Amino acid sequence: MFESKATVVDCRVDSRVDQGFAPKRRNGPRRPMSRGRPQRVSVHPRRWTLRTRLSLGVIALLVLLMLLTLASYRRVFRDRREAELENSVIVARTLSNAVTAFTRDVEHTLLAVALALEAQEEPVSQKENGAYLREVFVRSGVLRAIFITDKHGRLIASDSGTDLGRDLSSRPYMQSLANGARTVWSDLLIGIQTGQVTVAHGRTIRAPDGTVRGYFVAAFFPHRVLERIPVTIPPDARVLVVDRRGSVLYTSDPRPSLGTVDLAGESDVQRALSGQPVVVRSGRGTQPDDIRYGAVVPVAEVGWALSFTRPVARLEAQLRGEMARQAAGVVGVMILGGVLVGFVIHRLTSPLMALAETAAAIADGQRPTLPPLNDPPEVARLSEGMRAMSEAVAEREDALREALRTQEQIYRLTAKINRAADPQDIFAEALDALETTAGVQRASILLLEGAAMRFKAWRGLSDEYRAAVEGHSPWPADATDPHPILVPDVRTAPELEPLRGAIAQEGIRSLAFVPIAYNRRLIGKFMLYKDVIHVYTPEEINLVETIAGNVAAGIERHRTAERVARAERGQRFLAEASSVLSASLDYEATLRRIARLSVPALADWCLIHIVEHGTVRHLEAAHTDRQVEERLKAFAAGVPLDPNNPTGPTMFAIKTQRTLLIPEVTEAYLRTVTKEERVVRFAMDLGVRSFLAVPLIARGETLGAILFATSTLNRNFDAEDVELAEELGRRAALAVDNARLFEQQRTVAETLQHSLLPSPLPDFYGVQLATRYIPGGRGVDVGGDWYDVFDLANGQIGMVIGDVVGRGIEAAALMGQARNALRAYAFDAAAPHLVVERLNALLVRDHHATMVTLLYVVFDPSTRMLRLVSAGHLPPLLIEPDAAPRYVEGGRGLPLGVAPRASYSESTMSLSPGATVLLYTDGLVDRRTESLDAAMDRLLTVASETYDNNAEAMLDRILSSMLDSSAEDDVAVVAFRPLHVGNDALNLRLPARPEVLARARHILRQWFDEKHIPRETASEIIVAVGEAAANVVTHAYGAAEGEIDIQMTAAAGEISVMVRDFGRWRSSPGGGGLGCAMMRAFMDSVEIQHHETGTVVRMRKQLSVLHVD
Amino acid sequence: MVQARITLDVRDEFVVAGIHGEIDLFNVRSISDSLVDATSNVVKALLLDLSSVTYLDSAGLKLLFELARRLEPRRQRMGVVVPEGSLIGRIVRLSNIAEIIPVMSTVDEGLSWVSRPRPL
Repeated sequence: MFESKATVVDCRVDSRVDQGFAPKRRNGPRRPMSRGRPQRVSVHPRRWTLRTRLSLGVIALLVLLMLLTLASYRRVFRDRREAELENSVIVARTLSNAVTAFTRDVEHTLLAVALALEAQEEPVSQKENGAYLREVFVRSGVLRAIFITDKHGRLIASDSGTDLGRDLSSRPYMQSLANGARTVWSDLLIGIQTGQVTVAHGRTIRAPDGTVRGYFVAAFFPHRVLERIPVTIPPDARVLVVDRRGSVLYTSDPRPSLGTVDLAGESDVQRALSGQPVVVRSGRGTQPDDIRYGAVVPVAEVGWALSFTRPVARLEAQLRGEMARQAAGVVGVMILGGVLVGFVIHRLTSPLMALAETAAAIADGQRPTLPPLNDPPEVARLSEGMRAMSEAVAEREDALREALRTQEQIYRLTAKINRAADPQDIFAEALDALETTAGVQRASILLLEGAAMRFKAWRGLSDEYRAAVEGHSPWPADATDPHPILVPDVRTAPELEPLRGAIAQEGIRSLAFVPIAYNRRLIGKFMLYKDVIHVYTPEEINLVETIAGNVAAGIERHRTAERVARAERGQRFLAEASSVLSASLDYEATLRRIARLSVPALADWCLIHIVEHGTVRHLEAAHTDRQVEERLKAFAAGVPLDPNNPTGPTMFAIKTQRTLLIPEVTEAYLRTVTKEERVVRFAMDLGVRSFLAVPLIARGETLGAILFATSTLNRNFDAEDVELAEELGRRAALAVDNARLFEQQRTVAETLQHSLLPSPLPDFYGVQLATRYIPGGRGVDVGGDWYDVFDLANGQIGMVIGDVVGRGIEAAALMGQARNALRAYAFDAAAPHLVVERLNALLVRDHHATMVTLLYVVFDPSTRMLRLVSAGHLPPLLIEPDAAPRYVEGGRGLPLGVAPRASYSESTMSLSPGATVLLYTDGLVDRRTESLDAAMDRLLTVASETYDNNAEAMLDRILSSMLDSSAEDDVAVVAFRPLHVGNDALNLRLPARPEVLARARHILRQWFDEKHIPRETASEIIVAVGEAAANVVTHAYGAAEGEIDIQMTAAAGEISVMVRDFGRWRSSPGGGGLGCAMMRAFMDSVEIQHHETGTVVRMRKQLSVLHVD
Repeated sequence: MVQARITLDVRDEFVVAGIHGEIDLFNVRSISDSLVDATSNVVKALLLDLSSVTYLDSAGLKLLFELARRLEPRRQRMGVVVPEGSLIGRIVRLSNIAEIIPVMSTVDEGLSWVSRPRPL
């Protein structure tokens, strides 16, 4: 029960899991199946939140951006540097070109002037050419001076017209011209007057005949030239122009004193002077910390070099500043971006977290209100989705809860139905379930009985209504797979027309018929009632059908259990009946007990009739109610069955030997089977509902019949009862038959056995004898044990104790044969061992496969010698008054009937008076609970404590000590002891039967022998006593048993005899007178007295004087 | 216990039945039956030898009377042999049975009686 409950809980959890919205709890008892698998510490691996991830992503992005920016700035800086350098080169080249253009312009001017001069016919003179020169000078703007020398170098014309005749031939450029150079550019010249840097260009003026007429020289200031170049030079830039020797012709930086700076040693300058442009990435300026960059380019045609440089520091500072600005921008962007991203993250994750919380709460089964999240729209949409989901979840959860609750109800119903011991419990549970799950307050449960629906349980229905509609069913009784029938409004249902009145009366407006079916077979129905028009939903009907299914299963289970229980009860009943039947062989008592047993196990009451000698006799009646039972008994005993009317159930069963089942007993039925009004009345009073009569048949013969009846309202006999009753009938009949057979057999066996045992025991003079035969077993199995005591022809006493192996009539019969044969062999006092050998030969020849153990003892009273032969029998026990008891061994041989030529020997012993020999069969010492040795030891102990002067008393004590209730075997015992002889009186008490007369005579003869009475006299007395005794036997007791006393004394030479009986003589003593005549003939006096208590015959006889003892 | 035995000597026309042992109330019926059986219709005489009888009581005497009475209608003769002077002889003679049937002392005497023709 607990297990199933646990299952329910699991089901619930699992079903939620299945639905997919159960929270994945990290801890808890769920997922027991995961034991053994690698355990998951957590359902979620530890992960960064979205916020962290976004933040980290943004940071990484910004760092990357920064790195990229830095990297790109590096390149930009490098490119800028390169561009600066290229720019420097371009500027340098531009400047250089400008210088070149100037020098060309100078050269062209000079050439034009020179050509004009060469073509001048008049000699060159101040006068001739001064003004022209002046004009050129002014026009050029850059010239320092312009003049012409003669071929010797003397100044002959100039712009200023001063210093004419001055010898300039020592000037380096003049010398180059004098050496034949057509044109020449001078190196740096320091103005003589001005002290300014000057450069001169000279040209040879030739006559048309080619002779030198003079030289034309133009001197100008390089800085003016450069200053006229329309190129803007940044203020930090420095332009240097050096001549072919490396002397600085021009510098834009005024600080170094020109002319003193010699840059010829500078490699960059040298390379530029040699015609190669040089890019200076980092060069030393005029100051030690003045690191500069720029270019040094050659100035074409004149062989100068021009350097354009700018300080690196400036560029670096510029670049650094730029970078700082850029970095600031980047950082600013980053910060802005971070803030933005943070904001976005915040706006995004906060609602997400809130939603997650909400989701968790939902998952936990709560119903949280969602936070108002309307912005941003995505979150709003998510929130909206979430809300929808939450509602859906809640809805589904509600539905599921409802379903679970219903399911639980159903489950509880199922469990309760399964537990229900009584169908009424099932109905009550079902009605409860209908109310709690389907909300149906008025409902009823009907079960199909036969073809009619019967109310079994109901709520809110009146008795009148039930009576009115009972039996109604919308489905045929044999309907398979019946479907619910819904009547939303009874007023519009024509098929309910016949019941409409009752329905209206009951205030019912709507009906639902829900079939209770098992294996699609209709077994009953639910009725649902509403006082309003009601249309049931499919779910409701489903539910009711489920409950109906449960009820059906419960009912079926109950019915099955009932059937099983009934079968078990039947079996138990039969087993009990069998044990009752086998317990006793008194069949009347047995049948009476069967009647008692059948009520109420099988029926409410029953009657047993038996057939005896062709007539039917009432034997027993039983009823569940003891008082009714007495009336039933009296009635059944007082109303004998009419043997000529075989229609009554009992007589029918007896006459036809067939079972009769009347499932429904009606008064009409009773009237058809009996004409007696009182029988009908009595049966009706008993409330008979069902009859079942079974005959008791054994070996084709009807021994009687049992009539079973039920009187309760809810039970009819059915086929199973018939089966049970018939089985009971068969067994009872068999038992009765057995009992009758047994009675016959037992009578035969007991008669046989008792006829074979000597009873009463002959009275032997001088010995005391006690014998017992105790039948041990039950039933017909009389044993083969016997004892026998007889006198032998020579006055000796023969005693036998024997045991034919086996039981029953055969053993008893064989015992009789063995006993008689032994008596016959022993009669003429043959030697005991020969007697036993002959008996053995006889048994071997005539009775194969039998075995007899036997002890044959012959006692001679005159010598008190005992001769003993044992044929496989237990040794006799010798019990002496003054010595410990002992078993007498010796004289032992094989059991009889085993070996054809077995020989037997005798053992001889002397018995003192009082010494008792106990002969016994194994029944005395054969116990199931005890070994034979132990039992025989016990017998020794018992015997040592039980010596008694009276052999009978002693035997009683031995037997009571040795035997208990567990004794099953027959026991035959003979105790035998010689007595002290010497009493004058003889006392005999014998049964008054003809067969004892001979024994009495024998004893008398022995007594007379002891007294040495002459034979003749003794014989006469014996005749007289014999007559008296015979008279007693013949007349005293009639057919009854009686006893005869014979007392005899010998005193004073006279024998006195008294023969006495205790009966009433039917005719006069000595009838015919012959007996009396004989008594009187042989005795001296005969006196006969009749008393109320009996008759006494006294006789006397005088002994002859010769015989006084 | 066997009290008495009967020996039958069946001759041409008569039977000599010797009884050994005791005759008393107890066994007299069976002895009587045995003797009647032995005396078939063809037999003309029954000679009862009581020489070996050791005890005879009044019932035994009645047996003799009874036998004689039963054989008479069948015209079969019956004689008794019993030694004179013995106890049994005295008992037999005490009964005066000699008035009805011959009582002889020896078997020879009896045989000669038997062989004599029946008096008409």
